[in-house]
Amino acid sequence: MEKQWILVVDDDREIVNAIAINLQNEGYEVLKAFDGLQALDMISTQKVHLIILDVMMPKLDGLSTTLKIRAEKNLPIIILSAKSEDTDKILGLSMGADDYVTKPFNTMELMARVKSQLRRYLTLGDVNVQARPNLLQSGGLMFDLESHTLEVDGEPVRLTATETKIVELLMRSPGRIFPAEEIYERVWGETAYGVENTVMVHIRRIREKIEINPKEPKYLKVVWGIGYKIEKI
Amino acid sequence: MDTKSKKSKPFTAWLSFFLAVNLLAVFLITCLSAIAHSGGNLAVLQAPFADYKSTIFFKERSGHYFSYLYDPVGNLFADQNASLDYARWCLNEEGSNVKYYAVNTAAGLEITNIAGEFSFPEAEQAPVWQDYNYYWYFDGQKLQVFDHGQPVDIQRRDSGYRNILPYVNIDTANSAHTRVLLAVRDTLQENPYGHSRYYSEKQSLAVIGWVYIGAGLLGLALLVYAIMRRRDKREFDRRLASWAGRLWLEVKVLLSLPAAFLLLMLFSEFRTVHFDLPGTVIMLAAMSGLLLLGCWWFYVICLDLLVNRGNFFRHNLFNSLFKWYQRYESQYAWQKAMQQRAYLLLAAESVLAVMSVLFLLIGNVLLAVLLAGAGIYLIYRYLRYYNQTITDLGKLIDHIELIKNGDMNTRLELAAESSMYPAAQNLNSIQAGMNIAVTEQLKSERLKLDLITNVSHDLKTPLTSIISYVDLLAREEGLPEQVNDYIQILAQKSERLKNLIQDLFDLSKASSDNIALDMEEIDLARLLKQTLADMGEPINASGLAFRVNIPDEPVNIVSDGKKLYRVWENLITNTLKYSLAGSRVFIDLTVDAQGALATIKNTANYEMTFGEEEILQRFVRGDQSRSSEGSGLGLSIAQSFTQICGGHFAMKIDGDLFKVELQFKTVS
Repeated sequence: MEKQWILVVDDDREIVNAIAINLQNEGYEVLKAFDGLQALDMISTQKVHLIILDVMMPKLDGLSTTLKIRAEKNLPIIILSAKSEDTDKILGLSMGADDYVTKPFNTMELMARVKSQLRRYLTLGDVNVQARPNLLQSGGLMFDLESHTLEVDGEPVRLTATETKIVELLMRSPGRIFPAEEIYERVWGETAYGVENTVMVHIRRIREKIEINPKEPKYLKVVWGIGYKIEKI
Repeated sequence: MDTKSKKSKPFTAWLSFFLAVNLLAVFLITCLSAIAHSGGNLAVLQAPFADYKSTIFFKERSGHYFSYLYDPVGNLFADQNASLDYARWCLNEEGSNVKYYAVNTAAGLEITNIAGEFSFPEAEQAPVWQDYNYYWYFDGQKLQVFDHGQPVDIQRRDSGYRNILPYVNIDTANSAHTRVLLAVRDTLQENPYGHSRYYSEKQSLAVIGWVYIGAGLLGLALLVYAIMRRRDKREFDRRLASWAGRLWLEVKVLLSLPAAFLLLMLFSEFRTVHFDLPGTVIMLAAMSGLLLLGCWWFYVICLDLLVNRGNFFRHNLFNSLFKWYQRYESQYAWQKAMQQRAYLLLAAESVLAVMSVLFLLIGNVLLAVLLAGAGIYLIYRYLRYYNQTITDLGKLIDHIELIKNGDMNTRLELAAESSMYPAAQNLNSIQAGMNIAVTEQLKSERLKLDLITNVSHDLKTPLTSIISYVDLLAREEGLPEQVNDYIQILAQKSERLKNLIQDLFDLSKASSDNIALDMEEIDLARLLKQTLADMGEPINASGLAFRVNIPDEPVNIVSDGKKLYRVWENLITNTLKYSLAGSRVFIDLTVDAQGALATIKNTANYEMTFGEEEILQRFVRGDQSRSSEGSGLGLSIAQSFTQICGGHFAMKIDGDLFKVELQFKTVS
């Protein structure tokens, strides 16, 4: 298998080195850059499969770098930032980043995210998934309506029958918020009464299966005080 | 030195203008009067430079002398002797310049300065005396004038005698016995024994001529200078206008009326001036002076009117009285001033009314009407001022509203004489002060936010390295057992530090109101159920009995669901941590007219030796031992988040009972 090159960009050399060691342990080849301009240079001269990018950097900050990379290339970008506000995350993702990890990060989580982004990028690539009529998609989530199976970033996920029904219900209308009662009635087919607990338990289990960090879910979200939804990505 | 010359420049220019106009005016007035006096004979203007004997002045004087001679002998006045003496005295003053002979053979009267016997000559015999070739001759029938021995046609207009003849009042019917001869010497000489009017007139005419020429030229020169320096002159005009502007309109009117009357009088008077040098000159000078004075007065009035425009009329006695009153009023508080104004109006109106009636009774209708008019004007002024005050008060109120709504820049501009002016100024400075305070506060808020963000970043960056390398160490194999223990401790503590920093960051942002909110309509009941379901595992593991009482109907509030989840998560976590083992935890949600009230009650597993306030202070931990994980900020965050989410957070400690109440406004 071809070597996969990952560019790590941060003005803090120790962080870059720590990430590099972890990536190399996972079997990736690592390039290092310490500001945005250097990163852009490297991308233009070398083959890079994924970038891990800090936001607050000298010369050219991470968001501007993301914009410049996106103008030319489609490779996955994971933003790594000490800014942890929701607004920062939304801003980073809207600039064209594929994922947003806050510092201080969990090494295992970062590795998992790298893996999933690479898998998506390398195996699915530019396949136009929308052309397949029996496939529901949101970001890296793909639900096949015929086989009733779910894939996350190309990796199949094993779900129970109830979980599958819930995921199918939510994925048919991504972004729509379903109250617990509606989910219960449509999945279980019974009148709902005091079902918040039941539904929540299932939601939590599904999350543990499809989310890299179930505490900060990317796809399956609780809308507090309203219901549940699968994010439309 | 420089400033002084600058200051005097306008005055110099103006002075030259003033002198030029005066000189030229006097020049023109005298010339015109002379022409008018000579019956339109322009030759009169050349008189000073022509041969004296050919001038109208010489002819006129001769005419006078002749009539002095003729009147007493020919017309036989009552005071004949006085007249005779006067004629004799007048003519003898001339000395040898004249030879005269007047006789009335019927009355036996004779005056003459001819020594010895003299027989009245026939008309054709002239000249009678050598060197006396100019003479007036009356032979009892006809007046004849001879110049250079030749008879002059005195009826001709250009002869210069036509205007003189009316003085020489000859009564031909009763003059058959009268003979008069007046001869004037060819070369006029000074009389050492008397004052020769012929001679002095001749001398002074020559001088006067040059004086006039000089005056005219000087006037022209000054005029040219004034025109060249018209800017400076205009500057002084403005100064004059401002001085005049200080006079009340009434004073100006009072002074202008007699001035106008004087001018009209003078203009008509000029026509009747008797032309008799040098007395006429003084007369003319005096009249011209008065005339010019009047003209200059109106010049200044016109300037005043042009420069000060409306102020010309506004600066009057009434207005000054009002202004004076306003100044007087300003020393009192506003409300007192307003009252006083009304009282004073009443007082003034009563006085005016009484006086008006009194004058009416006396019969002075004009004064009564004037006083009544003043009273009406006073009421008009008062009403206008009152209206203005009301309008300005309205503006003031509007402006307060504006400031309340956050406009910190628009200033309230009122006229300086408005009663609301001081209040408006005060309001403006309050507004400016508020503006500064708000700006300062915004700045400090921004600084605080920047500080929080930067500190958080600067703490997180090294912590990232610590966590990463601790993690690498933890995966290192073949380390001694105790080293793995140490690494485990490092991992735990760095994880705690991470939580602490995040909590601190959240709390700082929340308490400085710099947090982004996502407010929407949510169901508080559902949120509580969701949170309990979400925390189902730790709750079940805790061994505590949760007694939950939440209505099935939705309890709709407007809030930020994510933040509110954080509140409940913190409260429940707190409960799980600090509840007595096996005790019950009560969670209730009730709705009444005031809104929704959510409570959580638990029994503490330790003695709470602190007050409600103390526990909310940052870093105060319930057990005060600071041993377990967690930042100690849980309750503070819960409180801050509740408040920014639009709720009210209250905490009660009663013995071992710990109770938190959250209140929210419901929406229908």
